[in-house]
Amino acid sequence: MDKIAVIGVAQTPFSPNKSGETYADLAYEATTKALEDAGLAIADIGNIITTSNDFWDGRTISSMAVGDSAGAAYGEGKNISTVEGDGTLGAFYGMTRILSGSYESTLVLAHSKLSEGNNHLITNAFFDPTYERAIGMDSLTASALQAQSYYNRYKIPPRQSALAVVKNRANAIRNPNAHLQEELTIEDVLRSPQPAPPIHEMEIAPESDGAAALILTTESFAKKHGAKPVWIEGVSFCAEGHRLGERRLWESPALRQAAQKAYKMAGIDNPRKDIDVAEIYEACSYQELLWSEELGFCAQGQGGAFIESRATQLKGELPINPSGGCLSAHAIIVAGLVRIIEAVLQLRGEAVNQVEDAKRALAHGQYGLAGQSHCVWILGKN
Amino acid sequence: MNSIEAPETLLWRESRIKIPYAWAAGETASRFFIEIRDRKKIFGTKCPSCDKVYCPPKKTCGDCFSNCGEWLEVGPDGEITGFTQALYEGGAHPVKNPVGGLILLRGASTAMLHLIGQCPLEELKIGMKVTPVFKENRQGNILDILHFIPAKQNHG
Repeated sequence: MDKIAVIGVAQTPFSPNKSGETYADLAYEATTKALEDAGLAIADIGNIITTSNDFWDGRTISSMAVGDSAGAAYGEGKNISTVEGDGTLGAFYGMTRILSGSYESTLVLAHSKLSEGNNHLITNAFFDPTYERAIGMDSLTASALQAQSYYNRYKIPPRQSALAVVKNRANAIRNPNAHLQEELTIEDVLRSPQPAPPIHEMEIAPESDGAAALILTTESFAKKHGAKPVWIEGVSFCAEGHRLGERRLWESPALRQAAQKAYKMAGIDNPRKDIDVAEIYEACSYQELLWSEELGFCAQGQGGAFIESRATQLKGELPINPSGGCLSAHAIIVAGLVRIIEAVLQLRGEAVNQVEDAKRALAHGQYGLAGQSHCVWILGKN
Repeated sequence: MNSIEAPETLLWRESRIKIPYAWAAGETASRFFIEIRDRKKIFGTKCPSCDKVYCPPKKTCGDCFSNCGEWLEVGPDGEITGFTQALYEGGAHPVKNPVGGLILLRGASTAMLHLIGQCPLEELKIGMKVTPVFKENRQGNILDILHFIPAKQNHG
């Protein structure tokens, strides 16, 4: 694959209710900051990908509604296209547009304001209208079914998933973009109510408002503009079947597949050793454990023991979510793009909780009920 | 220009989106619902390649990418393979604090998402045998099964 660089990254701070800004305002803030970060002007951008979901925005063609804020109407108008899904999928599409040879640069934008809609009703609409929607489940209860399946299969004690919350919220204290920043104990987490057993309230990613953007370019474009590039070494996106009742919820074949393909592209044999830092998308605490297994950081069923070993702490062997992760800030759609952005900052040496001498980072995004689809990115410094 | 200094003066446009739909159930789901409505029988479809029996039935096996043409009666009893309860207010809940379960019916290879009733959450277990309660007035939809209940209650 031709070398593709990430040369500009930016996000708005995440917060529970950005009442002073529309989602288009947030998109403009992220876009202009990403351009500034790359040292570019909108005129330099070849094409634009926006990433969103119509249900969360409460309108159709939500992505086009932020076109002006993303610079799509600039000059005589730019080519703008759209992804409905997580920001990592938008970035994947943006990368392939450069690889097509048609563009030297892509601006990838993601936005969402969870404060404006009703997450329960919106994610209930993820379910098939004929067979399943009337049962009344949503993304939280889908995750609860997965958590139960995973805990039951591998006898994961509740304290091990609670550890992901304790670690990530503490990491977020130094992250000015995070939405929840707090010192917690395992007991605090396990004493919080259980809105969907076995999941505790504190184990659920918050509902945030925000936007993020990044700029992808060819190697020659990056060199010409004197940018500080981070390189894409490997990337893969895989999805599994939709219905929860047809899936083995204690595992994630789609993530395993995406990880193995991305590792192969990047020449990684031993991910635990070869990756210096990982930013992964955990919508609930148990997912950090389960995704760690499928990313090959530990054996199947060992996700709990892995986090308990402190290997994923800031000073551990493989720090996971030094930014605080999605458990500390979670604007759906944007959340995965921010994982890439945090990985880029780590490789530039500019992260708030900088991992010493980070040369290779993993970023992960997911979309769909209980992690139906996954996108894995391997980014490198050199 | 950002002239609003007092956040409490910011405005919202409040509304809701209401668009009626009539989703075609298609031949496969129609047959499934008609069997429940008219005969209180539950059917699945079988993949000719991997022999997996889908219930609720599907026309296409995603694993083999083949056509599931054969119909088989399954259940009506089965076992719980997963469950949770929504202990919060939700506009899509069919009952207050619904217990949602994955029910693997006897003879099926995949589980059906449905409601579990007449049993407190603390007493539910993975592997517990359940049986469906059919509604009196059935309309040809998934809630023609009111819910599944622990099997012994139905016989006791």
